[in-house]
Amino acid sequence: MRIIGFVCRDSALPAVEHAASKEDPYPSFITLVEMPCTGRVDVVHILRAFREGADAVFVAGCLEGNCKYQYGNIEARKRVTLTKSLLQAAGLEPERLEMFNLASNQGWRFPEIVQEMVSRVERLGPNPIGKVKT
Amino acid sequence: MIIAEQKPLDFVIETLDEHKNVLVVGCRSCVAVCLAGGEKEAGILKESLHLHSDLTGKGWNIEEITLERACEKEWVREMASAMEGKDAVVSLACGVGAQVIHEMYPSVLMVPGVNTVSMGAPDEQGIYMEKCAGCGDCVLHLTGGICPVARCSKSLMNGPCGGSQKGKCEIDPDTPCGWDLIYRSLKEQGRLDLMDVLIPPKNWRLSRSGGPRKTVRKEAVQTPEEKRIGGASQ
Amino acid sequence: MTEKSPPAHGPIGSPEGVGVFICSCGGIISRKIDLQRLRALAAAYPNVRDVVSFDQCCQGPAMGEIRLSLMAGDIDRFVVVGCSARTASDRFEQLAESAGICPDLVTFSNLLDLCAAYSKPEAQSKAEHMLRTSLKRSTMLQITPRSEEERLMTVLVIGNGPSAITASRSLLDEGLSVVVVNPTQRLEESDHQSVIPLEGGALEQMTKAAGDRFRVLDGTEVLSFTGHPGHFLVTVSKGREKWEEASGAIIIALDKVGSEGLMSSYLPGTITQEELEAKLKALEKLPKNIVMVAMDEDETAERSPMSTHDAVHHSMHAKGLSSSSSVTVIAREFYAFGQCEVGYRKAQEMGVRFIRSEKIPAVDEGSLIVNDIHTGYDIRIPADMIVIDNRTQSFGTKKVAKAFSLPLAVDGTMARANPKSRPVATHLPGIFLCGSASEMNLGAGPTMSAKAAASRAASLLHSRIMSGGNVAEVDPKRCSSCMTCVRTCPFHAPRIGKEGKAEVDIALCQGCGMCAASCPSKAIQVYSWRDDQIIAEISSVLEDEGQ
Repeated sequence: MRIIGFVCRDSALPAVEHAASKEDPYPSFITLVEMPCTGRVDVVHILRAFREGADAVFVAGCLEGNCKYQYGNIEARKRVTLTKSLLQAAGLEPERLEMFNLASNQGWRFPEIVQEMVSRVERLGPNPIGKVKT
Repeated sequence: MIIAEQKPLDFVIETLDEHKNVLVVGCRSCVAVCLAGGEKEAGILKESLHLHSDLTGKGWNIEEITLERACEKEWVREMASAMEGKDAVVSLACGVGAQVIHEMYPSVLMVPGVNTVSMGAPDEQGIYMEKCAGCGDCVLHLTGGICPVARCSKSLMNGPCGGSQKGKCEIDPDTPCGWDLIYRSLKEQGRLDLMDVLIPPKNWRLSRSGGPRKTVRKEAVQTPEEKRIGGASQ
Repeated sequence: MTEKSPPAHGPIGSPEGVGVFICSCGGIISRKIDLQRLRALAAAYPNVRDVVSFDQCCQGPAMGEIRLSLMAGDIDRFVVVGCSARTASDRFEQLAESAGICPDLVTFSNLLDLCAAYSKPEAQSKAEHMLRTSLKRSTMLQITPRSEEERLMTVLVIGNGPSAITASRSLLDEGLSVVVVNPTQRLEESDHQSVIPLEGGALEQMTKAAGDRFRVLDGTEVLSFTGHPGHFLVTVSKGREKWEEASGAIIIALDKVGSEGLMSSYLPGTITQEELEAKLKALEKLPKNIVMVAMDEDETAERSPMSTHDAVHHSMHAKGLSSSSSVTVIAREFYAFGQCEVGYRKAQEMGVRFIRSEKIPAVDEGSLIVNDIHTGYDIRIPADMIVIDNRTQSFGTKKVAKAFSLPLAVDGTMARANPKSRPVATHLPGIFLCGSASEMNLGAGPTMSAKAAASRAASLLHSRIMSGGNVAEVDPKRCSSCMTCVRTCPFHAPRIGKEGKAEVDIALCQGCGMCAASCPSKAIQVYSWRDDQIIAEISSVLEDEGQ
């Protein structure tokens, strides 16, 4: 399974690092791309991730109201919503993409996020691109 | 500026149909400013089409290019090498740019990627209001700077009509009554006397209704010699 | 773009050479991961010039070795394979600078947190995958523009009362010059007497002692500002005159002023907490039934912790003086921070009654009818003396908020960047906040806030101010002058320049990248987070076979 997460440097990444260093961390096939702020995440980045074979993509940023850059996470959420409708029109299930908000000291929430995305992939099946790509 | 809005991705996919070699064209001018068709959107559309093609095995070859202004031949010419081997163009440029592109590359399917909606301006970022109808015979000096053609739903020359309700047009509670706006503007200017001036029936021949319009600025038209020697290309 | 840095839109050149320094983090990493294999992987990667592994690369001798390797001449960037950027970046970026390497060309591959907890085979393959991704990223980075800003050793304090005075005193003690811009006619030296009084006072002494390091501009408003930390230019006006004041930092220190409120007319015979305190201090005889209404008549107002605070303290004081009196405190919400928790409990032990209610109590013939939130019942409480909160209002916050494009809290006070983690800051770098006219303060009194804000401003000016790094940059050839970036940026870094195209002030840019993501013409990119770099990382991260 391939699941990629765009994580913001100030909240999500520390939370992930905390979660990962515990006993029995989340599955190792979760990969991350660090962003200065989720506000940097663009629609093309997410689409490209799916084209490169990601089964699911998540964007994880600060809790709303706590973004170090005021509203980068709000911008990210708007873009994630837009991308979901593009995914649907292109032929992929929009549930494969999700936006989450967490604080840097909420490492315990990260395995929950991972579990959510993993169960969605188990339900929807792997990204068909893996098979069909010409 | 020209306000355009993207057409849904489903439409583009459906219209492309069997065409496999596609060029997505964006423009840096109006459509970029109203966030419908600049380089960013061209990139997103290209990626979306590629994703669809990869998922369905259609084997599309999609490229993108963004022109400075798609309505000028010199810039559209820059597309030439990108157009080689293409059988379809998805234009994110406005309807004007799309047609200039078509004129230069007539054998290719032209898929409009945006609906060109109006001549308007942002009320705020992301919210664009129609302001001008391009009637070719401007009367803003008589109407306190507010266009009765574009901003009155009935394009009345002497409004308001009976459907004006508390400053809103009867067609939609959110649409301001154009003539209410005109009245207020004239009042602020101290020119309510203009409300009593009957604006005569409009010469609609100068507008869209008179057919496609040609506008000539005599002094700028180049003589054959100027064209031959100067920098303008054929 | 400075002389040395390439444009953020330009082609990415080949690296001169990459150094790879692999750390075992005291054995934690090497326990699960074969560092030999990582070394071999790195050494085989194109452009890698030197690969060294250490037991603890952050320790003195190891750092020395790394420095020597960096100074060998053919390395312009390096990857630290070990722990997280959060723990290691400060020291390694300093090391990079000392070796003449751009600090933004240091990449961290956090095996310690993200790999070492897995079982051996998983940890190994993940480590190798992460190393490959880090190497790829490292080779795609560019030198960033960096410059040191000049520092004006003056702080502009915008305030009308004791907070401005306290902040100024702290700043003067730090050797800085202070200009106070006061929108009222005269600086208030002390505020209304509350239990935690604002420490102002001694203004005259302070003025004499500081000489020309301290100026107070009374009756002066702030209109607008430009500049960046180290060098701000603030346009002020007094009457018809307008001029600019220059400073290295700005502190907004507005205090609330007293006002007449509706409450005092609503309940006849009511006194304020301030008036009660005067009575308590004068040891006046207290009536039998004292009821304190620590509520704002505006239900939507931010609930100020300080109001119930005053009520709690005064209730204990009153009960102490007159133990036969019944004392009741009514509020929507009780706040008791830190040691005040002790006071709250003590008050209850002394017999003070606390009632929570959502609605302002009604008056009925010498009693108050209050609706208790817990039972839902209306309770009749005899009241000989009704005490309400001191009426205050924020003064000047709207104008200051407009001048700096700062948000106001619901009740019209200046909003903090984050009431918990950044209490004396605004989101704008170099502009600090204190004063009772600022958003609900979680526990620290106004005096402490003023001292804290002064301390932040002083720290800023007492260290080097570096601008640049991974900042945004505009390619004018692509810019459509649409102003989306100007509207999006919370820090006012992009502006339309003289050529009509957007320009980013690197001294203000915080590198978040929101502008880059929203630019319709892809005219803005962020160093180290360009679209092509991000996409390359996505490809690299997804490259290896999934599991």
